[in-house]
Amino acid sequence: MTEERIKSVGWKELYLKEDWWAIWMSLGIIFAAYIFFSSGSSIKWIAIHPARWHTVNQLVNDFVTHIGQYIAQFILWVVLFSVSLKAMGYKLGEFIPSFTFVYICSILIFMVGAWDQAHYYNLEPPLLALALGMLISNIIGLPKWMDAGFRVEYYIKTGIILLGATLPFTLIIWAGPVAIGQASIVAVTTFIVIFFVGRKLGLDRRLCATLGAGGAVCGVSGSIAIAGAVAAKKEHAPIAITMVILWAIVMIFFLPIVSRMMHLHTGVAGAWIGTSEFADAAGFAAAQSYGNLAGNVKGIPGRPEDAVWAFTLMKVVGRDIWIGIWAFVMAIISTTFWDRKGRGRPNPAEIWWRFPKFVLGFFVASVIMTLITTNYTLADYNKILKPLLVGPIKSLRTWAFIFCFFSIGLTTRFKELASTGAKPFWAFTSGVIINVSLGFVLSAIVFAHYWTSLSH
Amino acid sequence: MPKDNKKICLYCSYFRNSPAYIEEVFHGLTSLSSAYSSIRKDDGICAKNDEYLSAYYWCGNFKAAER
Repeated sequence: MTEERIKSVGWKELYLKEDWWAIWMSLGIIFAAYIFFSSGSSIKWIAIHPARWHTVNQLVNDFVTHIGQYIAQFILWVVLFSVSLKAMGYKLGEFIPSFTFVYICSILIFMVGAWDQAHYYNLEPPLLALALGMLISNIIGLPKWMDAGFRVEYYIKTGIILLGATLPFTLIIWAGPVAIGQASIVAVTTFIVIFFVGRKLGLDRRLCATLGAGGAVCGVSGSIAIAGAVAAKKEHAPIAITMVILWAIVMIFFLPIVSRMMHLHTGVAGAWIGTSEFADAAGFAAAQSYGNLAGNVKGIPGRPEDAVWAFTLMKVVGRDIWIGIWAFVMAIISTTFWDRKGRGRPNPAEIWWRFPKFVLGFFVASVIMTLITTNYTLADYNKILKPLLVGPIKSLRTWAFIFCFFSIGLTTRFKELASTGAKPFWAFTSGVIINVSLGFVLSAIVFAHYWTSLSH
Repeated sequence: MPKDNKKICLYCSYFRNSPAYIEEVFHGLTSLSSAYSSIRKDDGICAKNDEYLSAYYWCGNFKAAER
């Protein structure tokens, strides 16, 4: 039977919340990579991934040659995730078999993505992982206990912190304010639209706020944080979850397709996705799949990294870090004006406690790697650091993202989602229309110069 | 806050806030989020009022939980 109550987490969140575990694990990987690099070695042996292939024979030979490395990497992931999940209360008897399934499928997805014709058939690993996961969970079905290995949020946080190690801190300083400005304009506008359309349709204001945060701030996580702050009815959060999931899945496919049709620069598309996608995990799937087109499909300007960098700046720096402030402000509005029963006053410390701590790990990773690379010329960076230090971290990051994208598909069971009714649907959808349109104008026109200049 | 700050939801028998329980009740939550995130703090479900709310709120229906 599931335990229903726990005591206050407080500073115990250092080992009870996955944000902190993602930090410990990812920074541990980065430190290990640097120690190996400093001693003249590299972690690239264990950061193995399928090489680009043309014939099936090449693929099989490459896999057989490196099978020992794949087994070692699998053991590494199992150990790292098991220690943390055990501390958070998971049953390893459920996690390990489930993660084994995730890892084997991820190898296959990675292999398909490494095919030199994959782009021609639109077999981008993020989209493939998502589609395969949804197919398995909605048509075949898997036992519920296997959810222990489908930790979407944990995998994406791990991947984002590892991504920090490949993103120069100087870039965050340069483009961060633009990202915050653009994201704030869109977030506030989207929230207001959803809230007031919802009110006009006669919805409870707590539901309107929960829906608004889902569309404007950070998807399901935003909805949950605001639902708690405004004391939403129990059924409000599942309605918002359904709306966010449905639109996030649509946007994973819609935004890259439209960007491709318009031949948008990868940086511009990344910024647009960062502004208009509703969840980190879904946005990374869209940004990475569009970035992968650069250099592989004619007419897509920019570098693959630009899409992911712009997305991260916009979503993580521009939107995610403000969730605590949103929750605090909504709690004040709720307790002061909406709820006359009196529930107490919100404490400003809530801003810290609700802060998505993994973002700290992202910043620290970026600072560490920026300091390490400062003494290298660009030529030395490309010749020494890239293959021995940055490349292997990037490879492990890609694995974490594939675990995440596949897990999104595996946990998206449409028949389990709460029915929303027409009014919440239209309130949320009105926000989606404004969000996508405004996000495009700001990314592709107003701030296009910034998003096309990230590589400088 | 109530006069006795031990009468908040966190100490109420109607309050359910374990991450595993929240993920079990809110279908779809794990698709794009998690109950183990920092952003959720100690929030939980009130079985009496059918609300999802902060552990530091309170109401007149408080019933002390067994320690």
